Amino acid sequence: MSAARRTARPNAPAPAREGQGVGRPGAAVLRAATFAVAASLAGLPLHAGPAPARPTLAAFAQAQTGTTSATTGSTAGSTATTPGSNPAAAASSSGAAVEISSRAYAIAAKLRCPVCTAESVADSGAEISAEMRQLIQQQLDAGKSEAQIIHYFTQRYGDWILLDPPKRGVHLLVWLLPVLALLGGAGGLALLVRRWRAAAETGPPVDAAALERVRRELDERLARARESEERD
Amino acid sequence: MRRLITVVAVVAVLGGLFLYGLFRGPPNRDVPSQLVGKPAPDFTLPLYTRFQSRFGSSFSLSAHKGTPLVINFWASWCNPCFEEAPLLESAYRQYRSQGVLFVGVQTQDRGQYDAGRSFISRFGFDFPVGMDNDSSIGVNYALFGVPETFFVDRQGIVVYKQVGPLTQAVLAREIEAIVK
Repeated sequence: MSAARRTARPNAPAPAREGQGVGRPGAAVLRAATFAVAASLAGLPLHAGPAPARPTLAAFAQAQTGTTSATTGSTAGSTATTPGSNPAAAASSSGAAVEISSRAYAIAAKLRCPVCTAESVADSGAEISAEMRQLIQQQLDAGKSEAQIIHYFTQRYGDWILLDPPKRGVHLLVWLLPVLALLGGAGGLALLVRRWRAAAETGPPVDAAALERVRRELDERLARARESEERD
Repeated sequence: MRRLITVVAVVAVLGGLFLYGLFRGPPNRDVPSQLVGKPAPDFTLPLYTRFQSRFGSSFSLSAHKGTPLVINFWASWCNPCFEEAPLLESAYRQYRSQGVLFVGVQTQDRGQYDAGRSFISRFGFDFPVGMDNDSSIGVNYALFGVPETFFVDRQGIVVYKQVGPLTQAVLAREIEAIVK
């Protein structure tokens, strides 16, 4: 599984950069997503240049099946200079392409992008998400388990960072309420069906006074009919 | 009559909710920081050249134990960062005599060294500023966006986190708190 790696550019289409004046690139991401949906509905190409470096489901599927993505990111950062003359920083700045394994992608899919709206770290094009994906990969490479990596993020961001609420404490309500509602609905429906069946078997309830009135009316009509017969 | 009362009640409730939604203002989506009240995570930040003669090639948090710190995260693409930068610099000049040190961390801005240098020159920062090129310091500090600013007291405890641009009032209040 670890051999299956996929490539993503950390600061590629950078909706964060487009979001100048916002302070949080989330709005820009939302705009980009809206544009993408509109463009796909209209059958328009989403970009005129090279293939998008953002993680795609197709790329993920490729990674899952063990095929290697050959896409590499641009080297936009390779000409960047460092603050001062720190060679380590120079090396990292040139590494614009970030390779992450499907395992790292799966972990990233469980985490919420801090600057986006309802997007996972795996799917987000925001720069911080790219860095977080890289961080996950580094921790996996260092031999950390998924639980340890998730713990690393929850320690810093709290449970907020998890896309699925944890199955404990007050969060349990989120998991239990739908089940309880389903059970309650099924129970209510069963009761109703039972009541309908019983009603069908016994017929509708009859009011004794109304029955008496109908009987009286019938007797009167019969009597009138007999009288008219006798007259004829 | 009964039906009319029901309709009026439903309309009143829905109208009330609508008005509440209109006038309650933007919802507060800030997530409380896990770091407030806890020790500030240590980091080593490579500094831009202009600061190296006074602060060394990198800034290490652990080397400044006992110093009240204002750690400001910014990016060259972020407009609110531009807006708060003059305030930061003037606050630093005003409060440094009380022993407080500011640190600027350029983050979520991979490889944008030229933009960083021009940002620093534009506002004439006198406090150390460096590049968090892989945003690892930002993730360690659980950043949501930029700008964000952490106020760390002499014991190395994060006492306050400002999400979004600083104001003069917040700066004055929180610096007072950390220099105590």
